[in-house]
Formats: sequence, structure tokens, C-alpha cells
Amino acid sequence: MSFYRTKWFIRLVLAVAALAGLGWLAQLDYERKISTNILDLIPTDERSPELALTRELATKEQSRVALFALDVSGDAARREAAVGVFVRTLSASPAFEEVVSLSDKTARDALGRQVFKQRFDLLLPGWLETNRKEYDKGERREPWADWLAERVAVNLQSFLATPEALAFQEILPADPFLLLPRLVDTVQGVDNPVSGGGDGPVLIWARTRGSPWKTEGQEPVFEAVRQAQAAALAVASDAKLRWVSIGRIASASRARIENELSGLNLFSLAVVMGIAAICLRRVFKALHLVPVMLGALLGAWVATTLVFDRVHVLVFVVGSLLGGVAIDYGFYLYLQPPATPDEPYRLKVGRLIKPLLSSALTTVLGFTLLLFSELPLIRQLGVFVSAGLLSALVTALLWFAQVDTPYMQTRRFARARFSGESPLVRRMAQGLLLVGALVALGGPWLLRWRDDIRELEIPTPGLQAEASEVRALFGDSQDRTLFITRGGDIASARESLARFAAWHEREYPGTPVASIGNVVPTQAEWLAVPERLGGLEKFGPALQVALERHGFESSAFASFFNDWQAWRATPRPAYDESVGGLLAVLRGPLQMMATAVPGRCCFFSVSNHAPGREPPAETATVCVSGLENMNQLFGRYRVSALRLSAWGLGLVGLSMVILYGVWRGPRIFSLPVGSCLFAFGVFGIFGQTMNLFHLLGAFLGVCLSHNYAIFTAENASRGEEQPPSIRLSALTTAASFGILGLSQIPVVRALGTTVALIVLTALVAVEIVPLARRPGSIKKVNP
Amino acid sequence: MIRRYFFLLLFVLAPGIALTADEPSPLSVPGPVVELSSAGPEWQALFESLAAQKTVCSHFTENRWFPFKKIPVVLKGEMRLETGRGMSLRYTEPENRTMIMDERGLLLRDDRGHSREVPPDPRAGNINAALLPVMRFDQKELARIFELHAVRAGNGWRLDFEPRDEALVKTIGRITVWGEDAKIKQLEFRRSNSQRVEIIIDDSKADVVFSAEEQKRFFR
Repeated sequence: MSFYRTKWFIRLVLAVAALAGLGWLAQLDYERKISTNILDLIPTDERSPELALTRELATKEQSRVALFALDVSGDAARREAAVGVFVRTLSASPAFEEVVSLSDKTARDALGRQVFKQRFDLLLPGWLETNRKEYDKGERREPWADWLAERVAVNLQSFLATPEALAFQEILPADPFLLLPRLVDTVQGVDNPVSGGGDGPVLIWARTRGSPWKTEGQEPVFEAVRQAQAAALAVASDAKLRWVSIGRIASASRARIENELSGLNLFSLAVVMGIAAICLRRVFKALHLVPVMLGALLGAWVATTLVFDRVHVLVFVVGSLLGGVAIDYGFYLYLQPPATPDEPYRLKVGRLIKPLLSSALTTVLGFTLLLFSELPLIRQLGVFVSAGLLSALVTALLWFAQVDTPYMQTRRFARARFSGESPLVRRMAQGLLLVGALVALGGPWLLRWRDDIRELEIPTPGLQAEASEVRALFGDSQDRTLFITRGGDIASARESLARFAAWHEREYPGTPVASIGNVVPTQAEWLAVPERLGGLEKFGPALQVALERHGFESSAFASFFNDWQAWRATPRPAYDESVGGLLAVLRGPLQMMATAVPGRCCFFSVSNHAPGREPPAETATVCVSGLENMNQLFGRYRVSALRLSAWGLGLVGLSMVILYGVWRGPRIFSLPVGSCLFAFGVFGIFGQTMNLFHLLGAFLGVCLSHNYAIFTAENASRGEEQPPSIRLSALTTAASFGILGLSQIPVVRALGTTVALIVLTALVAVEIVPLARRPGSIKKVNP
Repeated sequence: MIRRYFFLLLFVLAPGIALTADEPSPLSVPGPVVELSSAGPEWQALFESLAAQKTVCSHFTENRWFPFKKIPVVLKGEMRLETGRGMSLRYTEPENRTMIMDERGLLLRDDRGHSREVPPDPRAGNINAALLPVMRFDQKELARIFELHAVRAGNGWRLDFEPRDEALVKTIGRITVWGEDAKIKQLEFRRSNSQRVEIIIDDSKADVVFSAEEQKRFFR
């Protein structure tokens, strides 16, 4: 095939590949395909079921909650009017499913009425069980009914001396068992805001209809809030609204991520091209490197979106810097001078293909191992980088095959070398290498590791400050911990809650756990009721006598005796029906405190203490405050990633031994490993706290500097000094990853600075090592 | 014979006894409405002397009347009041228990030092915000929250605080304070005849200095 026909054939192949790739990307539904949800970073098949549940709850019900704090000055009527119109406008919007002002006590009253109505069904079983245990522990001289009646009267008498008695005096004639007063401590607080009355802001709780993670779910909410705010302002011109919803933060995060994505991409491209333009003789010819980068990005996007149903946007933010890596192959092919003036491209490729394939395939091998990670983000990044590097290599090989002159000279300064012949320079180089070795060996011991899921988010300081204020008004505090207890059905969730309560009492003595679940009896208590009621046929008269004996007007308790008789004469409902009756009246924030979906039942609990140790697995309870469990999860993934990276590095090292022998292989491999240790040493010395993304960056940096080690070794084996492509490649890579240091996302910054530092270290080492040696027989490369 | 004289004496004196029993003491019923801001000088002097008491320590007996109880429940203890830190009731009978009422709400503390915060009941209105001004005699707040009825009889006086807010009326009812000179002798929280709490104060000392240990134990 003539060069002309080959050229056009290759161009056709490139064009078809590009069109196919772009066609695939054009038809994607990006709203569905790309996620900005931080929870998508957690695996859906996460092996800890409680974490899977946390994720599911956070994703579904909890994420649809919007909290509002409306400040209106002036008298109560003005406040009421402004709040009323605000609530009505929001309620009228189809974007909201439910809107409740916390000053509206309807939901609480409805719950109170329902608990009172069902007090014998729900609260009596536990009460009977506790008393029966006491009775059985004693000498049992009296009949069960008489003992119980006496105990009720004594407890009631004792209760009247407590501060709470005055608040409950209205219901005591109907509840001498004290079922409701005893319950209050174990329920109150589940929905209590710390503020909400007086002159403070009026708190409004709402649940949105659409998904807060999608634009179509967010926009109608924003519009409805704008309308409601305008309506409130029309009534009270000084009304001030603060609000928070997952959708609002997600929308702001997405906007900032999109800005980052486009900004960093363009900046990175410009810097890479700028370095190329400065170092290359003909700036215009540097444009030949652009298709290599674009080919790499296109291949990476196509492969990642083909392999994964849903890809997190962070992959593209981080992966966009692939350009800095992909250009390596272009540099190496394009800047390598021909062996002879008329050397055909095919022969040149044949000469360079071994280091190209060695560097590309070993890097791909390393990144492919990331596919075994549990963390979706790491798997996606593994595919993105592997596919991108292979695409870059193929694009580079094809692109320069259709270029008339596949060689470009660098400028003189880009090829300039220090002379290694001066003893002073040699000693300085040796000194630098010694310092570097000390840092690499000693610094990593000073490293501290900690993962924080919040570092994955793009900070939106204004919104987050507002969110913190509003959440604090709704009772969120460092001294309050929220737990979720799960179960396949209500009965098992309740059993778990009982186990959790027992654990909590041991762990935090005297600190109650408030939960709607405490209103529900355990199934064991429920089933024991008929047996416990045996022998209580004459309990009514016995209680009347006991009450009179203790100075009570037994006739004042007529409502109780009537209810007791009626309840005993009525067949008991089924357990699920009884609990269902209670859960059916939950509205507003209270509704979020229990879920009774078959297979996924749960109770939320609140306790007034700072988050501490995780409850044991048998309690089926997870602490959801402070994201600590997610941080632990990410800590676990870091260990997992470290293990995979170690395996990956081991494979890369092994492949070096296989390709370059027992002596040269380890020497080549010592450059990336040494650079990585040096970078960790620097981080350790400067007190940088490391996370999972420093580790990932290190892995990427090792693979990149590994390329330089191979190219240098290849040239050295031919008796040539290192090619200028290494210098250019390292500079462009360091620049493009250095740009990540400008990212607003802490973990992206971590990744960028790690890679940039390792690559720069490798470049300096490549430059210094020859200087530290005594002058040898290094040939000058033909310029 | 003696018995006959006795009945005769009783017959003669009975109307007088009955009249004496029926004649209400001026302090047994609420007085007329008094505006706190424009009260006469005799009231102003009392209000100022009550407000000037920064710390008070006294013993008390609390009688709680419930509609379903034939006799009141009797509690005894010590009361400590410190402006700025709130009021602390240390019950010694029938059980040892401390109740602290301050700006942050209601706190119950047992003898082992375990504290338990009583969550506010939003339906009850802000009881603390209503009671603390009474304890401190904060005239501005009192005028905002209550309508004041006041009456004097000699050195004795009676102040009735009627909450302006319906929710407070339902929860604490009317607050009545009886006193003599600048000393408070009795408090009553009355929702009805059968639903009331009276606190009889004796051995009251004003401007006492609470030790650091007392402050730690009885306040938060």
C-alpha cells in the first residue's frame, strides 16, 4: 500500500472511530448517566446491610426533606399571616408533597390522641410484662390482681410528688397505670426543635415530591420557594427566609462541578499546549499532540460510559487530567529523532514500540487492578484511565502514521543538560539524592491518615453556613445523635430496638433514647398479654379499693374503669394492624421517624449525647449522625485500595523484571517507587493528613513516573542520554495535575498535588542521577 | 347544768362566730388591677425591694391539690434563687430530688448528680419564660406576660398574676404571691379549687451568698 493510500486509510479509521465515539456520547442521557450524588460513591451492594440501609434511606425519604426558618418581626398576627401565606403557597405547589409548620401542633396532637386511644394495645403489654417479672421475683403471697392494684396505687401516689405530675394531672384519672407519663421520656425529642416559639424564627418542615438529585426535581422546588417567599414578603416586607434541602446543595454543587470540569479542562489543555509551544521549535506543529489527548479523552469517556450504568462526575473531573498523561506517548513518538534521515515511520515505531508498550501496558495493568475495588469511584477511575491510556497510544501510533514528517525538534533549552563533569556539580547532585533518600525513608513514618466523606463535596460556604443554621434551629447539634434500627418487619425492627436500647443504657447510662418505636410493644410482650391478663378478672374492684386506701377518690377514675372494661371485652387486633394504626397517624417530621415498608422497616432514635462508638451488629442499628460511619467506610476502602495498589505495583515491578531482567528491572522500578516515597515523605514532614485520594494519586504518579524510567532506561541501553520527551512529558503532566491543586474539591486537590509532586520528583531524579555519576560514555542525541 | 350553759353560750355567740368566719380577709381575694408601670409609691417601694433581692434561700412546704386526691400531696424542701442563674428547688420529702428552672429550661437532678433535662412541651407555652420574671420580679417582663392584681392589709400584701396568654392560663393558671414587708410568705399556682399548688415559705433569707459547691450542686 502506498504511503498516500495508507495515510487516507488511517485518516478514515480515525474519523470513523471518532464519529462512532462522539455518536455514542451524543445519544447518552447525561441526567441519568452522570451522578453528582455523594451517596453514589458508596456501593449499592455494600456488604454491611446497615450501611446499605443508611444509603437507601438517605437517598430516598430523608433526602426529600426541606427545612425552612422564616423570620418575621412584629406582633404575632403579622407573623402568623406571613407564615400562613408561605405555608399555603408551598402546599399548593405540586413540587411539595407535605408542608408543616412546627408551630402547628396538629400532628403531635393526633399522635397523642392515637397513643392514648391505643394505650392498652400498645403500651400495656410492656407494662404488664415488667410488672409480672417483679411479681414473679417476689414471694407471691397476694393474688396477682391484688398485688398489681396495690402497685398501681403506690406508683401513682409516688408519681404525684414528681415535677411531671402537674403536667399530667388531666389524664391521670384515665391512666392510673402511668402508661403515657412513663412514655414521654422515651418519645419526646424525636421531633423537637431547639427553637420554634417566641420571637425566634418560625420553623417549617416540608417533603418534596421529585428527586432532589435531578434537575427536574430541583427546579420546581426552587420556583415554589421563590413564590412562597414573595408571598410572605408581600405580607411582611422584612420577612427573612433561610432554608436547606439536599436538592439545593446538590444543585449548587453540580453547578460548581460543571464549572470546574470545563474550567480545569480548558486550563489544563492550555497549559499543556503552552509548555509544548515553549519547548518545541514550531508551535503550530505542536497541534499534532492535540488529537492524541482528544483521542485519549474520547476513548476514556466512551469506555467508562459503556461499562458503567451510572458514573460519578468526579471521575470526569479527575479523569479530565488524563490529557497530561496521554500526551506522553505523543511526545515520545513525535520528539524521538529518526535513526537515519530517511527512516520510515514503520521502522521508527518498531524501534520504540517496546518502551511504549511496556509503559502503557504496565500502567494499564496497574489501573485494571482497581476494577476489583469495592468503591465504584475507584473502579470507574480504573476503567477511565486504562481506556484513556490505550486510546492515547493507539491514537498516537495512528495519527503520526499519517503525518508527512512524524518528527519535531525541541528548542535548544529544552534539551539543555548540566555538565556532570564538574566534581562540585556531582557532589551537589549526590547531596540532593542523599537528602531525597532521607526524606523518602524517614518522612512516610510521620504520615497521618484520615478519610472524611465531606472532602468529596464541593464546598459551598454560603449555603452550608445557612444549612447549619437552619439544621441547628431544627435541633441538629454535636450533642445529639441519631440512630436507625432496621428489621425485615416491624416485629424484628422492634426486637432490634430493644437490644439497641439495652446496649445504649450500658454505653450511656442515664441518657434515654427517644424513639417512636418505644410506643410499640415487642412481639414477645404482645403475645404474652393473654397469659398476663389471666387472674386479672377482679382487678377493677381491687384497684378501686387500693386507690381509696391511698387517699384517692376512686370515682374520679371512672373513665379508666370504663375503658378497661371495654378493652377487655373487645377482641384484640393483630400485632401489625395495631402498629399500623399508630404509624398511619404520623405526619410531618414524625412520619420520618418510622418506616414500615415490608422488608425494610426501621425506627429512628435520638439521644442527647455526642456520636460515639458504633452499636454492635446484633442491634441492627447504625449511628447516622456526623457521617462518621461513612468516614469509617471510606477508611476501609482506603485499606482496600492500598492492598490493590500494592498488588498492582507488585505486578508492574514483576513485569519490569520479566521485560528488563533481574538487574535492570528493579533499577528501573526504583525510580517511581523512590519518587512516591519521597512525595509521601514531604507530606509527612509538612504534617499533611492523607486520605484515600492521596493513595490513588500516588498510584497514578507511580505509573506515570514509571514511563519516564522506562524511556530513560531504553535510551541508556542504546547509549543515549534521556530523550527531551521525558522532560516535556513530566512538565506537562506536573502542570496538568498541578492545576488540580486549584480545585475546590479537597480530594481532587489531594490527588492533583500528589501526582504532580511524584512526577516532578521523578523528573528531578532522572535529571540528577546522571549528574551524580562519574562522567561515562553517554552519546549526545542527534538534534 | 354546765352543758346547758355551754349550749346557751354557743347559741348567743354563734352568729358572731359565723360572721367572723364569713368575713373575708382583704388578702383572701385578689385585689384590684394595678399597672406595674404606674403603681403607687407604696407598691413601687415593694416591687423595688423584691427586685433588689438577688439571692434568696428558704425552706418551703409544697401542697399539691389534685381533683382525684382527697388530701394534698405534701412535699418539703429548700428553695434557692439567684438572679441570672434561675431557681433551684431541692426537695427533701418524700424523695430527694432537685429541680432547676432557668433560662435553658427545666432540669431534674437526682442525689447521684445525674441530670435529666425535661424537654419543653410546646403546647404548654413557655412556662419558664413566665415563671422566671415572677421569681426575679422583673417588672418589664411581668407587665408583658401578666395582668397584676394587688392588695395590702397592714404589712401584708397579695399580688395576683393573671397570664395574658391562654396557653399559660391552662398550664399554670393564676399565680398568687403573699408576703409581709419585703418577704414572700406563700405562693400559689391555681387552675381551680381542686387543682392548685401552694408553696408555703418560711425561714426565708435574702442576699445570701451561695458557696461554689452549692452553686455547682443546685444550679447549672
